[in-house]
Parts: sequence; structure tokens; C-alpha cells
Amino acid sequence: MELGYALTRHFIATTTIFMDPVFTAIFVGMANRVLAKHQPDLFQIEGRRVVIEVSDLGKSIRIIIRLGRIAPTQVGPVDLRIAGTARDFCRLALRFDDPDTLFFARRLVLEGETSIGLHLKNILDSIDLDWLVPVSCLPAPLGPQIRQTIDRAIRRTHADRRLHNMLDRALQP
Amino acid sequence: MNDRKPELVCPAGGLPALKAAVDNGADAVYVGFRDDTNARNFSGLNFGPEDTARGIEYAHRAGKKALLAINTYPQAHNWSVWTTAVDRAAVLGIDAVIMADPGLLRYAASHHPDLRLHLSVQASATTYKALEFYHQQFGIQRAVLPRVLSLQQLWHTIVNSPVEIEVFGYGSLCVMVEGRCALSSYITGRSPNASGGCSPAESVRWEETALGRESRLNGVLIDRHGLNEAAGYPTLCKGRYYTDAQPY
Repeated sequence: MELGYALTRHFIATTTIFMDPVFTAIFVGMANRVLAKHQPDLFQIEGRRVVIEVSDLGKSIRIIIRLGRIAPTQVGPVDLRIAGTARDFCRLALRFDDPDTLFFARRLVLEGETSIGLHLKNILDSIDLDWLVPVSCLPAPLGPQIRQTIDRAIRRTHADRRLHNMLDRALQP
Repeated sequence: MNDRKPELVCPAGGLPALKAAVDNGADAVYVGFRDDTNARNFSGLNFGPEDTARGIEYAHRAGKKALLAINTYPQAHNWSVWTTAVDRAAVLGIDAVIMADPGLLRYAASHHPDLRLHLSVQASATTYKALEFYHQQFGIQRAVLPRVLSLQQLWHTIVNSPVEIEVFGYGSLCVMVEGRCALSSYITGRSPNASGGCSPAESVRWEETALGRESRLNGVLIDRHGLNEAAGYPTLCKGRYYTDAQPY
């Protein structure tokens, strides 16, 4: 038992030192890709620092908005603190729950400049996710045809709804 | 009385919401520009020029209508912001503009006679006589009735109305004296009527303290929620206060 505890602690310490910068880099890279079209919106909160705390994992990501993009930043004062569990952040990212619901149900904490949080929330809500856009951009008739085939297959098998339900069940609070 | 099926009108704060509304059965979607010309003026919300055009196109391609709310009240110093919004709406080919200010309604009626006008809930018209006035003066073709009316009052207004009537299927959690509430401006200097926002986010602060989550509006304590107690957005009307040890 004690050995297990020691190993766990060792594991957390090791991942914190070696993996956190990697996770932060992956998060920042993906976020910037998804937010590429929203640079003008991000410019409006230029220079603001935000810390996102995953309370149950004891992990946090510190970011700063710089030149309309997200960049990792060091320890220091922040303008906004967002805290919640890993599960609830996953539910947010998958749009199973909206930030207002989680916040008012006390599952999400928001401290500091509320307007930055609202701004980020509205940017997230306005992201028009369509993973098949790159496919349909392939030269015709290839791209549009592949897209049509995938669309039809999804409609026929209800794969999207099944995946949605499966993830929703797995992430039940 | 006619047996026409009612039209389902849905608000959208962004393009994904508009698409979801169109795809899921809305007959019309209403949107707002990204400024204080509509009563949902919140940071990052609403439609920029490119989004508006794409949204209208998406709705029209599905055979649905796209409406635009320009339903706050301009003041002398910023009048041109509102008239520019009306001009943009006309150019974009929007199906109707939802407005409240009589001066702006006159501007739209005289500069864009083909633009269909709806009377916003923000105009707070509660009788068919008021609707007759707006209809005669500005040619409005539809009115959105305030949520404060009882079903009986709604019915009386609908039966005698010279124009189409739109009512809310559900409301937000507000006391809903639309167009007449200035409570927010007592603390924040801003209200829905003039700048499109009640309790603007810039004035809102939440703090997790030993006593619970404290909600402050421009520094004024509005409410304190205990652990796990559901909280709400801090507005002056919904705060909980103590006077002589009596809770209100």
C-alpha cells in the first residue's frame, strides 16, 4: 500500500516535471488551430493572463493572449482563474454542458475579471466545428465525393449519435 | 380566427446556434450585430459582418427567414451607429428588422420603405391601440408582446391587433418589464435599453470565500451562495438582501 502511494507520488512528480510542458504545448497548439479564425476576437483580450486549473488532477495551465493567439506563460498573477474537474472540462469541450450551467451549478469556478471569461465562453460557442471541411477542400470531384460518402455513411449508421451517447454516458458526473 | 400554424422564431448568438436552429425546425432565426444596437450586447456574442451574410445565406438556402434585432434606444450622440445598422440590414437582404425606438422606426420607414419592420418587445407596447399607432405611423407588420401580459390580455390584444403577433414561448429568468427597466444602471451605469446589457460582465465579480460564493456588482454585494447552493447571474432585482434582519 505504502509502496503504491510512493510510486503514485513519484509518478505525479515525474509527469509534472517532464510532461506538463508537453501537455501545455499540445493544448496551446490545438487551441490556436481551432481558434485560428477568431484572432480578431482574441485581440480584444490581448495581454490577459488566465489560469485553467483541473482541480481533481492538481494540474493547471497558464496562458496569456498575445497577438490574437494563446501562448503559455509562467507563474505569476492572473486576470482570471477557471477551475473545475477533468470530467467537467471534457463535457465542456464536447459541448455536452454549457459553461453557464456548470458555473451556476457550482461545478465550475470563475474568479477575477468576469468579462474575460464571458468573452472566452462566447468565442468557444461561436466556433463552427466541421471536421470534414479539409476533406471537402480536396480537388473536385475527389473531395466533395469523399465528403458526401462520409456524410451518407454517418447518416445511415447514426454513428455520430452513437458516439455522442457513448461519450455522454462515460462522462456522467 | 384563422387556423394557420404558428411560425417558430428562435434567437441565435452565433453561427453554430443559427445553423442548429435552422436544422432543427425553426421557421425564422433572429440575430444581432456585434455592438450595442441589440439587447443582447455581450462580449464575443453576436454576428460580425461576414457571419451575418453567411447566416442569412444559410437560413435562406433552407427556406427559412433571418431577422435582425436593432432594438435598443439610440441617444443623440450615437444616433448614427443605429442608422448605420439599419442601412446595413437593408443591404444584407434581411427578412425583417426588429426595432423599438420610434425615431429609428421612422428612419427605417422613410429610408428603406421595402424593409419589413417588426416592433420589438423592448417597445413595451401592451395594448392593440399602441400597436395601431406603430402600424399607422411606421407600417410595422408584426409586434412582439411583452412577457408581463397575462394570457387573457394577450388574447384581447391578438384579437384586435392590426398586425401579426409574436409571443415568447419561454423567457429568461428576468422580471421582464422589457423596455422599462433601468435597475442595472443604478449600479453599473448601463442598462439593456441604452447599451444592450443588464449587469454587464465588466461589473461582475465572483469570489469564493469561506462563507461561500460572493457575487458583486460594481463592488456592491448582491448575493452570497453557500456551498453547493445553485447560484445565478448577479442582477439587482434578484439579489438577496437583509433589512432589519429580515431577508428580502
